[in-house]
Amino acid sequence: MRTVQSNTRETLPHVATGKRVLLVEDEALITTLVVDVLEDRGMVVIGPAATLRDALALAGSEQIDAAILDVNLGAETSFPVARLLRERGIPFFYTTAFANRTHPDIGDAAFLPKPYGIRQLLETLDGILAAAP
Amino acid sequence: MPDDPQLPQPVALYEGAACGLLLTELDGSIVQANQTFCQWLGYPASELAGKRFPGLLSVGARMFHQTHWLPLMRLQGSVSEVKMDFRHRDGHKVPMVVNARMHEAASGRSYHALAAFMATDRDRYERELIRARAEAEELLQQRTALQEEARDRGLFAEQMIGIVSHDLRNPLTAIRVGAEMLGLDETDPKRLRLANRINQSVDRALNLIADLLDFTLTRSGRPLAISRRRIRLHEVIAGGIDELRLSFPSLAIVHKRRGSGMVDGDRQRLLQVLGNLVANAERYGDRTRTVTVTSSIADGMASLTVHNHGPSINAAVLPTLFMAMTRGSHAHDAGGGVGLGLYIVSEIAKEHGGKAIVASDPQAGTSIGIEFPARAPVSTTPSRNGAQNDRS
Repeated sequence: MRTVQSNTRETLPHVATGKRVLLVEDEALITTLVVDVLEDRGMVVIGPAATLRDALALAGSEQIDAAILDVNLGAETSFPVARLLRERGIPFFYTTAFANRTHPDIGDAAFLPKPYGIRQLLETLDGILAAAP
Repeated sequence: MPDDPQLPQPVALYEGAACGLLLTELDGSIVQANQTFCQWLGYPASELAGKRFPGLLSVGARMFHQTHWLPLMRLQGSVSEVKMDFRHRDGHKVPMVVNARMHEAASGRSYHALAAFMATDRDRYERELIRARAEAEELLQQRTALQEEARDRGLFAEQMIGIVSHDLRNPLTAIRVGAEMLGLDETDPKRLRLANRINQSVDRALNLIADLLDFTLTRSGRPLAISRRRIRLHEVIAGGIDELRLSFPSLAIVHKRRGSGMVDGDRQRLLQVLGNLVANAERYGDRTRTVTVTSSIADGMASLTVHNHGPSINAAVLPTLFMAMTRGSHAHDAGGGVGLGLYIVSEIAKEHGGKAIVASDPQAGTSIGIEFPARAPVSTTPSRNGAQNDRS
């Protein structure tokens, strides 16, 4: 259970401004809103990518500080993107609507179950950025 | 033996015997046949004499006569209880059971002596049996086909529920983030309330999805994923109540703790029970009066009950209250929900080795909850991890 009552710009987690965040998400409804949230906090959104091909192209070429990966992209998954990010040492976390999160490719990667709220999104993002070297 | 002159003569006994009697040469040529036999097959005696016995048989019986009957007669001098189809003079089949033995006449010549019994009833009975068996086999096939169809349908429905539940989480995410964006830095209490209400609806939709998935799971005969760990029951429930107060800001919820100690329970599942029961109390109880949550540890048993004032549950409904798709009919049924909540509550209680409990009357109000042994049996398999529910 969550409430929006306490959400003000001051009480939400403060993610360092100017961070470049890759957003991989195939649900346009969510993409629009998450882009707004991130840009509202002063971040630069890379993408958003809605397909595996676009996501791989961005993950391999762009300068990225962190990434948000929706697991399911149509019939494909974002696991190859995660492998590429790991090689480049870029922190990321998964989001998914599936209840079962035991897929071996997910392993112990950070995870945000859908539906998430702004606070959960920013906290998770803040967490992986703080843990990154 | 009484020497009664009224007794029938042997010839009459022979002619009118209760079975067909026949004497043939070793090659099967009929020497004589009694009246009974002639009548059964519709021949006058004169016409039978000289005919060959196999000529009276159906094709199948004739083959049997050739391959089994004759060798047996040669080997052991008799055959018994052989069922064969004879042909009536007008062509229809006459099933008979036949005994035969070698008969040596005073002259030293050998004959085959046959006794034939009508077997029409037995034949009909046997045919009925065969038909009944074929019918039973067909019914079995039909049933198997129907079962497979039902299983396929069940599987399909289950997959549909899985897919829809998954797909619903995406728009729910958009609704939640959108409502929060609207509420961000908002100071107008009306608008904040609205944003809050939207988010509570998202919570309710999520609980429904979780219940629906659990329901589908248990209906297909699988247990709920439960992992019992040693937890502080009172603290877990207190935390849950704090969250529920945010979801039901206008509802007065108090927490009573009885006893102390650790309990083996699935934290998430117990919170699911709490959430379902408080939502129930809010929906059906008197919202102006306090809802009391009691967590208790006593005499090796743990329990969690939620009490509300208001109209009692109809006594006739109580026995089926925890079954899926039944809903306690109250004086005013506010609607909402599909009656899955209490079913899931009871399933969670069962997975904890306990049961759901209910007490309801107009004065004392309604108390619904679960009770289960505080300690899990030592032999239980290690926690079923993996399929954990992601309600958060």
